[in-house]
Amino acid sequence: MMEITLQHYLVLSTILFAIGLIGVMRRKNLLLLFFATEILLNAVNIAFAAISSYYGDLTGQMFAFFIIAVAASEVAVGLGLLVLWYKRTGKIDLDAMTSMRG
Amino acid sequence: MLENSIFVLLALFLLLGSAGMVGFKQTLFSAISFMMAMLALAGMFALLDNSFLFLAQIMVSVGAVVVLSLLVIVSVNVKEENLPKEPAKFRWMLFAVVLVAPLAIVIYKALTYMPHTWAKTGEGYGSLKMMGMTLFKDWVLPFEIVSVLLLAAMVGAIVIARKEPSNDA
Amino acid sequence: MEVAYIIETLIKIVVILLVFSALAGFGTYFERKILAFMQRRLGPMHVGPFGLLQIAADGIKLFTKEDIVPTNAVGPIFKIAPVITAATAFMAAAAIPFLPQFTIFGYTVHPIVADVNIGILYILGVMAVGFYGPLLGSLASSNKFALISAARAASVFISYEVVTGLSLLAPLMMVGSFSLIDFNNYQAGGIGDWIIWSQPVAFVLFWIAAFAETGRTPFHLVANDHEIIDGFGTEYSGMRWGLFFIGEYANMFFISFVIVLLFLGGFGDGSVLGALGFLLKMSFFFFFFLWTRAAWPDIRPDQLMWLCWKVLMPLAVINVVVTGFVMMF
Repeated sequence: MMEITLQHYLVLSTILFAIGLIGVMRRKNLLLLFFATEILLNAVNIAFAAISSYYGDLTGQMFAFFIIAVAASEVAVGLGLLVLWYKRTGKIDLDAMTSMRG
Repeated sequence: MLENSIFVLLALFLLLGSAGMVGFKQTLFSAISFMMAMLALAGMFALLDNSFLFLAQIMVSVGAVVVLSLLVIVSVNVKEENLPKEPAKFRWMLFAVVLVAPLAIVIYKALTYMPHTWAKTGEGYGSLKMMGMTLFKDWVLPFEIVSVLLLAAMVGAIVIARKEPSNDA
Repeated sequence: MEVAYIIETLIKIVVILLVFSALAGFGTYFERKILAFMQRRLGPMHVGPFGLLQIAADGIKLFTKEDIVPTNAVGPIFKIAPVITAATAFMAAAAIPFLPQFTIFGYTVHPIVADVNIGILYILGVMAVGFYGPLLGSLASSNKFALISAARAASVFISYEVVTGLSLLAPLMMVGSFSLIDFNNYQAGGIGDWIIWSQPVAFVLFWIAAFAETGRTPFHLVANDHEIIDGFGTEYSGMRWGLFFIGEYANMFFISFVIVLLFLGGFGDGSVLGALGFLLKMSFFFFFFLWTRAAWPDIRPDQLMWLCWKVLMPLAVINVVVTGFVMMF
């Protein structure tokens, strides 16, 4: 078996980012949109952590840590908004959010 | 050798989990796939000697984010027919894959120019002590800003979610 | 060397699994007996001497019962949920030292599977994963009582995790390490060194939160028999339900070990007496779980939330701040 190198982690990160991007682009369920965003952020986290470990420099870890914190606050506010939206309209459909259209 | 197989296994779980998250129609299944992906990701951090990120990942993503989402799924209780209609979901996804693929290839090309060996990480790398020292010496300001952000998020979430006292809404 | 290490670890894992699965069985026996004595009954008496074989009878019953998966249940999730509870309970055990190290046939044994330097946080993290068992099980079983149980499980565990983490912060600041072995060594000097004397508030908070984390009686809202039948366990039968049970009792044992290691000196200097004392202290905390169940009624969900956010959490924060000030000056 070949050695696992930095490339493997970065390729994994890229594939994960692509999956998350597809999720953001193609799903209309609002909850899934949050999950897909989390996947995007965490794909970046893998890259940060791998490079940090690679260079023995903690900066990458710090970035990953801050990203986790930002993702958590994003979900907290987002889920609150989602529940409110569901209470008002009874839908969690992205396409239903067109009330601002002229 | 063992590490390699663990990496492959974790990567498999990670990709399956995130792909399942995108693919499933039922929100519950998506949430559980997402949880699986997050656990695999935490394992990957552990594999990279990042004990702190491992724990932060488990506690924040698995312990809080997914639970909150499950709680929302339970409380909004979306009926099957109220789920967003997504006809030809997979066809569109295929299209999206075709769009994303060149990007991935370019990134992969760029990656092959990177060095191929691991530098030996220093003693104590990734330990909580070193992490804490770095965090509170070099990164105090971002840390404080993030705490303000979390506070703002908390207040915002409470304000958004509380019952409206007046007659509107 | 590598092979020997792997074999040793495997043996430890198997021993812990066997011992604590058996202990979980004994736990149910003790619970029935103690509850019975407190209510002036005899408890199980008929199978074997003093009803001791009741455990075996229960086991046979659970194993041979028909395994029912309700029609509307979400099959895969329904099936995997009990496994999550049991598996995470035993995963948490990996970072707990159960005895001081001893030498057998000239070979030194460390009765801990993995002395990771983040022991306590690891245990907390695994426990955070553990409540996915009840949560997913009840979400998947398409039962209204189970659904109530799911909502309660999510809110209770999320809230009390905060209290557990914050209450542990002050002792962690004092010891300066996350390893339970370091905690033990910090308190090895004797009764005077126990952290309970310097951190009584943290001790009480952690103890209260332990009841919530294991879902024992005053906070037994997730499976409250008199209002929501068995909560997440309503639709489960046979060994699947048994796995939930094993997980719950194993968790009770493990958290008793953790409380003793954190606050009450653990196994002290590692002598035989210390080890015996360790087990004795652990048994007291396990007994206390059962005692509370006999003596206290359950509280309402809103009271539980009130207790967590308006009493325990502010106390924990104040405790951390005061500890910081004392350590600084």
